[in-house]
Amino acid sequence: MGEKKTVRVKVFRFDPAADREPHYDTFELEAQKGFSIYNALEYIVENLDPTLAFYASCRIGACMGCLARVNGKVVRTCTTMLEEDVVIEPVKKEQVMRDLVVKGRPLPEDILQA
Amino acid sequence: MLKADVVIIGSGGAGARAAVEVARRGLKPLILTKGKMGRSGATVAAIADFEVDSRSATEILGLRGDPRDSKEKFFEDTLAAGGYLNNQKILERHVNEIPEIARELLEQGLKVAPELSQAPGQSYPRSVITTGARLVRVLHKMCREAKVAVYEHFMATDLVKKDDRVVGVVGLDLSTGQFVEIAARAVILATGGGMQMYRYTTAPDELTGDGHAMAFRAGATFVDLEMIQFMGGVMLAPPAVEGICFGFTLCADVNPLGCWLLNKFGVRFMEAVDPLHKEFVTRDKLALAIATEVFEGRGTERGGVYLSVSHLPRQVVDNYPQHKNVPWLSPDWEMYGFSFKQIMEEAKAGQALEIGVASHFFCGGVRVDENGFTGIPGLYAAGEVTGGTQGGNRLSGNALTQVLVQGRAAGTAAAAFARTVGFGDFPRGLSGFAGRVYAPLERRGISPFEMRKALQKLCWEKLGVVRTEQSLQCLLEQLAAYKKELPHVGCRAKNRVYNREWMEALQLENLITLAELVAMSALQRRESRGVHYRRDFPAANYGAFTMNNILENKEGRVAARFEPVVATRVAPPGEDANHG
Ligand SMILES: Cc1cc2nc3c(=O)[nH]c(=O)nc-3n(C[C@H](O)[C@H](O)[C@H](O)COP(=O)(O)OP(=O)(O)OC[C@H]3O[C@@H](n4cnc5c(N)ncnc54)[C@H](O)[C@@H]3O)c2cc1C
Ligand code: FES
Repeated sequence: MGEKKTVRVKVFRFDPAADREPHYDTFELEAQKGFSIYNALEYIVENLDPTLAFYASCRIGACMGCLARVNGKVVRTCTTMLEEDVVIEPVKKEQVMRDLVVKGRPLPEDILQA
Repeated sequence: MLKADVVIIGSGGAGARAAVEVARRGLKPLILTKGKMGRSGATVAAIADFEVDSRSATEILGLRGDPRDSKEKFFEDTLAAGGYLNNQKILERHVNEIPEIARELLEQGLKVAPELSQAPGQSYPRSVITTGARLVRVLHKMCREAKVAVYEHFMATDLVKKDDRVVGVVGLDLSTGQFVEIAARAVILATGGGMQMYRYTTAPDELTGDGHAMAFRAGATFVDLEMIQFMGGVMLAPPAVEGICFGFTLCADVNPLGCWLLNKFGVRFMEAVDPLHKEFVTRDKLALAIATEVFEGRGTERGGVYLSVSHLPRQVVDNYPQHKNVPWLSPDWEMYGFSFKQIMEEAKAGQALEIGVASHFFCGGVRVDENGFTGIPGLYAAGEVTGGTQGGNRLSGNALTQVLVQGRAAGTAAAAFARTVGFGDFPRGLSGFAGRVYAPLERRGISPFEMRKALQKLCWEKLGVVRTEQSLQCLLEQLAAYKKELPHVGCRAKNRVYNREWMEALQLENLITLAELVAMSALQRRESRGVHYRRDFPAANYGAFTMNNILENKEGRVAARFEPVVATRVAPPGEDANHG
């Protein structure tokens, strides 16, 4: 499993509160065998750019929390391996909370008003 | 400030079932969840089965089972598996109420296998086979129909008390970065286990013991927290499949391939552990055997052992997934959406798999009674965050049964309490709570990611499957040092909206609190029972320790003591059992 190669991971970035337009950041990573897109995102946050926002939970392909658009296709990032250059985008660009995270459901009025 | 009659922290099976019950009683529930509803927590990740006694499953659910079974036998099996530490009042509700709760789920559309399966330790087939995803879908449909409000991406950070009563919750809205106060007549804690305390785990990312730590800070009591179940035979590499129990499937599960487990010197250690069954043993036994090799210095660098198929002809390996004897393994070596094909190709060529143990389930937790009441007015708890149902060990499928029964029970009790009281006086100026939340964001310093990793490794080595007085003392010393460093943990990322580093810093504090609680508990139980293995006291001591291990918050310090178990139906074994 030692084979390594450098791949470019291009990620959608957007903070609706601060940015007028989304932009993309590109990170260079050593891809190893058995290294998922989820692993790559986690690696980026922990080592390259802690401001990157993404959501995931189970890491085993069960919860569908980690869905993202990878090279245009909606996939589970935890079961999709990083093997080549990729573009990672949120599932719904119009509903972005930040970067790859999509907004949660709105709170009902009666709880807000109390 | 927000307001809801009953606030439920956690959107897994326990939280969702509790919320439905609150709504049905005419009160307004609000679920808070750190993740997304239906896309967080262990419930959705389960493969999964839940347990119902075979007779009820036949008569009430119309499934194919064995009518000779009874609720009493289900009770007795669970109690025996738990080493007689279970709270029998809780266990009575567990076996008595699940048939009715399951009937409703099936009526609501839950798809299950027509025939029950039999899990190890169960005298009859009791496993109702479904998936966590299906279960969660039905529970959420019930939540929608009951108009349950949900606050997603909300990380609860503390329970708020006025005098002795819990009157609400505070926390961080991850989508805005704002500190939010929520008043409630009653609060139900349903935050799941704390498996992320360990380097390797089968459980989801967000299970960082927040609920345990919040409860401790609010003065709750804990029971048998040392009882943490580990899964043996999980993959330690490559990164994408870390924590997946593929190794267990290959060597010890229903239809094993007949692999060999070798330590780093190439010794097939299971021959000495169990000369008859060798690798084909139960989860617990496999976990202990692997952990012992590692503990004694014969493990791999990652802290595991090798799984080898080199002794097998290639055809036998190729044929294995074709037999379709393992339902979750495809003929093309796919499991959980991962392809193990390449790994198996390499295995045939002589490259062993590296497997080990991983944290899987918390049997102990916040102490509650059979109604989910914690003893603190206004505070209830349900699901894996609680202790008492399982005692010292858990049988397969009994977690989801626990979650469903306790969820409904706590929802009922919290609603009844909420009806009798108004909203408490929500204290003004919670600057202490808010300050604690903002502190790591406002300073620079030690990376929370680095410190979490160090902590997870430490817990894995000193508080894992194999424990000794020395390893636990060493851990406690190190934890004291971590606590001193906590005020120097800071974030490089300064953004407020969905800042993962900030979340990590808050979770880290909770993980340290939890690790200390578990270590204190493990230190006090000087025997081996259930999933708790003390290398310095390798046998069960029924005379001295058929007791519940209780932890309390005494002015911020952990105080440990033993209490007699709650036994209503079966007298627990005493001294005599030590000799026979
Ligand atoms: C891989 C796997 C397979 C399993 N298979 C089975 C099986 O087949 N049968 C079985 O019986 N059991 C199984 N279990 C165990 C079982 O799934 C769990 O014990 C059970 O689902 C726990 O449910 P819960 O509702 O208590 O907690 P969870 O489902 O874990 O939910 C916890 C919730 O709390 C939320 N939360 C946590 N902290 C906070 C916070 N600070 N603020 C707000 N929200 C918070 C989380 O976001 C989540 O929504 C399995 C476990 C795993 C990991
Ligand atoms: S994180 Fe759950 S499916 Fe990927």
